[in-house]
Amino acid sequence: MDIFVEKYFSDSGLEREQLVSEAALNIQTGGNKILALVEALGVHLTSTDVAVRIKACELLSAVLKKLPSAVLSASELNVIVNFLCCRLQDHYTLQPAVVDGLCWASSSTQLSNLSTEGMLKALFKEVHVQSCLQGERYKVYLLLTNIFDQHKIVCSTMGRDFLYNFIQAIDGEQDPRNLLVIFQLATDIIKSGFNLANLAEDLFEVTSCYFPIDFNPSASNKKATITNKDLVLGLRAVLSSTRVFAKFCIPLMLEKLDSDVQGAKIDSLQTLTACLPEYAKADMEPFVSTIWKAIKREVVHSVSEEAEKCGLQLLTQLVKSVSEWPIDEHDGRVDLYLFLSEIIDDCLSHIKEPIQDKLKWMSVQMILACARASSDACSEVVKSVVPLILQQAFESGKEPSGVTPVRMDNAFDMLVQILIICKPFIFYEHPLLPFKAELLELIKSMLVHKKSKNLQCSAVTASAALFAQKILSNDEVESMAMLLLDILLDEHHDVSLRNDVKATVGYLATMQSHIVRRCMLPKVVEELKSIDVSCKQSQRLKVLLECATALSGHFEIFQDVIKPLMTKVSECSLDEDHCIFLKEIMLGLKAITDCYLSDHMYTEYMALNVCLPLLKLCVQGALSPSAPGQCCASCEDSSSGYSQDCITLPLMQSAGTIMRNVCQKLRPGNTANFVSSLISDLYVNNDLLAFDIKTKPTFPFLPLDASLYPLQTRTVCFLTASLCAFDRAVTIPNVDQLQLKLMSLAMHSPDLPTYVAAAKTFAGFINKQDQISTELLEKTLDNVSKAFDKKQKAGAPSNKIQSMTLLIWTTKALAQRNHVRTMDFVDLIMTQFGDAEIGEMASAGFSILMRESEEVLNSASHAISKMMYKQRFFLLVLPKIVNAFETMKLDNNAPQEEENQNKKANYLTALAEMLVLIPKQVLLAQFSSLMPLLLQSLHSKVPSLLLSALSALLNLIQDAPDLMNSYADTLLDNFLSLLEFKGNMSVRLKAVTCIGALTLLPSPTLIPMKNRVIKSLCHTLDDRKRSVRTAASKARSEWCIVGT
Amino acid sequence: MSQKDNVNPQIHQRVTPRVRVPEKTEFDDEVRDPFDAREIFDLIRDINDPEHPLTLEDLRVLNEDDISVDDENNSITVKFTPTIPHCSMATLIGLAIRVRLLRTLPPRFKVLVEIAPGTHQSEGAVNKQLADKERVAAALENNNLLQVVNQCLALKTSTYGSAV
Repeated sequence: MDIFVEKYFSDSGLEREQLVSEAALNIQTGGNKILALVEALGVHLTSTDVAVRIKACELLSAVLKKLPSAVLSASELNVIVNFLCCRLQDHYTLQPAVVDGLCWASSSTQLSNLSTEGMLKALFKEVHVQSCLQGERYKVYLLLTNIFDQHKIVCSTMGRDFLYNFIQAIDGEQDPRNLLVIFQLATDIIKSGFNLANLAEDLFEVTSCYFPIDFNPSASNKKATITNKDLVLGLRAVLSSTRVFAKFCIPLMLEKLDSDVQGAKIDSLQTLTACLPEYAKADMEPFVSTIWKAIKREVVHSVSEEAEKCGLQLLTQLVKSVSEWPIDEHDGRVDLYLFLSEIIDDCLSHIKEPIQDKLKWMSVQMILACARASSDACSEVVKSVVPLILQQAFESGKEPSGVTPVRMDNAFDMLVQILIICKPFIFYEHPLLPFKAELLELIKSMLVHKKSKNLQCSAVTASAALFAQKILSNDEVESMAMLLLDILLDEHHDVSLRNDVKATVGYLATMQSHIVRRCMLPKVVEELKSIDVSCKQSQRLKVLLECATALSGHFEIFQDVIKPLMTKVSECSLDEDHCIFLKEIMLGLKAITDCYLSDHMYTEYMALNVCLPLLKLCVQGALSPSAPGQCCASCEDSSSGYSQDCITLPLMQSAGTIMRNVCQKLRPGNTANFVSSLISDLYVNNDLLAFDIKTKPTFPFLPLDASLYPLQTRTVCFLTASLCAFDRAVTIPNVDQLQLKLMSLAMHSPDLPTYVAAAKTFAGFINKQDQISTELLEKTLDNVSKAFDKKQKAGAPSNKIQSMTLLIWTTKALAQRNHVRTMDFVDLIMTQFGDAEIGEMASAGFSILMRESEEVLNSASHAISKMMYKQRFFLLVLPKIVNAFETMKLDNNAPQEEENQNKKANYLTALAEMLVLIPKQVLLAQFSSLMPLLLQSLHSKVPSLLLSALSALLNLIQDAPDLMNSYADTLLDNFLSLLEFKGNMSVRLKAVTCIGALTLLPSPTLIPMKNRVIKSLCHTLDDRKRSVRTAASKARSEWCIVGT
Repeated sequence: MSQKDNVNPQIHQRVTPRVRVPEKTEFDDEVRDPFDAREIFDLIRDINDPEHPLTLEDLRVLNEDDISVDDENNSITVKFTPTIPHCSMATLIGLAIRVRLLRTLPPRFKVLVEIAPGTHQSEGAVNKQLADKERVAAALENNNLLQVVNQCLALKTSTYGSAV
């Protein structure tokens, strides 16, 4: 230790840190005792030179701070503390170092009470806090906080002394960092029940002197993390921590309310709101009336919305506190009623006025704020206000039209507000009961009020609020419900109104299903049943389905809705006659799946009673035409006999969507396994019996055979929708067989919807397997590359496009789970970038790879998707693209030039597709390798490439203007030249937007360019396309105010 | 500003929808879209009122119907309606409209900005000032005035904020 001390003192300061660490480690491992260190320091601590003594103390504190608090034994610690306390009596310049050490010691639990008390006394006696620097003061406060947390008992035995010295210590503090600690400690002390004795006023004075806090840290010092709000909340916690402060605090707040400073007013209102819950009747009683007057003044004359809001909140809190006062034992006087009647009288006189002004509006708000406070207050308000409003509403209803609607609106709005406020309270006797009849009459008349949509909407809200309070009899509910139903069934009503009604009716269905089932449901269901399935008018059906969806919130109602619907569906077949009807039904069913599938009962019911029948319908539809061209008009016209506009396709797709929604939510279990095996059987073994479908032997159902009927193969979309959407725990029989068949279908089907769906399904299967069979992957790679290599024979159809589709989707399935073989697949895609037929498709496929698909491979479909796979994929692919680019630059063979151009464009498209979807952080990290590529792609002539490069640059400019700063000139030149791009308006539009976005760069860069840009944009202002012109005018306006 | 001319202006519901639904031809690069009143209105509807935190559209100082455009003959007339007949801000509003159009219309157009007939007591004088190119140019040399105009023209939210 002696050597260590010698080293430390001879060192110039460079290695001190390390020396201290070594010594601390030495003590920690038991090599030496801390007391040995103190002994070794002896000579220096007794030196006559103050500087040496300071250094010695610093060393001791530094070593102590490196030690975990449990290393020292209790006796060692106490010795050290006593020793340090004695050092406090030394020269005052030693104090910072000593306080540092004490601060460390104070956090230890081993400190004995005696030493703690000694430490506090020494500290209070020797250290004059006000003359310390900020850092040291901070340490003192921290020390006090530590002691108070760990040794409360010592503090409370010291009692008044502790508090007195604490107040002395914090007096006059100005640094926000220290204030935060002080506020916290003061709150803790008060909340712990510390006896404030006669020091309460002093403590209040020393803290409340900061009120109201207005702290605006200078903008240059961005690192300051303390905000005005932190301080305000800290102080508020102190002031609102005890009722003892009431007699000082309320007058102070009332005084500050008179201030002209808006912030002070708001702060006072909020602080008072926070204080009131602490205060008891005795504290508040003398002030209640004054506070109310102050609130009234603030609210009525306020200039800011914020102040109004705070004032109203305070009023609510005030009334709430008053309602909690105990009833006077002597005369049974209830203070709440007296107080409320004062407020209500005051406000009502304004509400009665016929003119509309702010005073009236604010009076309404104040009354409502009172009602929010408690159930007693609410019923009091209801009793006095509701009759008046009812009277006003009825009167204005009788008056001839003119000014009245506005008055009516306001009166009715207030009524609705009151109804809503009543909702959460529990009443002994509901205050609305006496007015029920009149209320109902009014609301009903408003519901059918044809002239004002606003009134109708309010009426709907009002009826919802009434339903929620359960004060209506069944008959009353029924009559209201029928009125609502009428609105819902009338499609001429406004959309927002009908949406409100839907929500209300849905609520009613869950709350009082028996009423809905008795009166509303039959009306809807009857009409649904009577609709003609071959009808070409879908409007009415749509409205009915919307109604049914809204009502389905209750499971029994839901069943009652689904049964007749599916009976209707079973009457239809997949052809032109029923297409409109089926389309609407599918939309309706989809809406139901969107709303109610969170409940498992619904999901299972729908899987069995909706999805399977729909599948049956579609399979039957696919089987019914015995020859090509028979299914609909557009197929008749097409040469192959099956067109992509075939009416069955969208129907199959929407049935698929419904099925997917259901299967995604279906939990693993019997139902799920049943559905899964049924569907797997249908596709692998072509088992139609389970579905009870009869077919001619000459026309079998072979959905996975590419050479046969597209109408049948298109039903593959149901495989995607069901088996690929299930939870991974659901077993799928014969999955290997399915995969092989799907692969061959995907590669050989000539029908676009078929091979895309097959590729997606294949990918969906692959992604979800626990172990992907290497064999299958090899086979896929092999088959696909064979298809690519095949020299095209004259006349023979090529399946390159199909193979590429399969390849892209498979790659996606692998990339999402970070599979090791992913890059082999990517390489294969990239080999085709030079291909004339599928090069563009291959590069565009990168957007499929990065984008979330709605149908498969998403999280809703329980696909395996590793965290941040996109980033990983991007980082793996980027070097490949950059490399490919570099090599192409080198060989400039003339004959290959054109092909190279295309290839380059494809690489850049792939890159740009990825850039759009990559998180910004990753992009910025790769910035330096990206920019050259992007800039180069701006010279291309290919619109799609230009567009993606421009979007990527636009994002970069918006997100990282600082980085783009150095490229500003080059970017501007390129953008300006693209303004003349002929033949594609989107390119010009994007370019001009980019020019506008350049204004986000720092002004010093922009000002030299300003005139040039403004001049160049002139021409684009007269662009032939309006959208380009609009964007140009925006950009030019922005540039015009650059630097002003 | 010590006292506002019109302390409590009437605020109107916006009549012209915010988003213009493009016609089919607008997506066709071959077809030239003509300038029309709506397009001009879209350029100036967002100008802020000098006195209130509202736009000229909110206060119905500008209406789509008060704009006439003759694309072929390169002329545009914008008539605006001050909220009150003695509004001292009329010239400033007119100037703001002019400047916005100067910045956002191709130079081939001759733009006339004037007060709607019979809505202001010194209509003639203001119209004369606004029509005088020299005076407008001179006004924009004045830095203080330019700043006020720029304030009127500044958009409340940046057009090119972050894409997030």
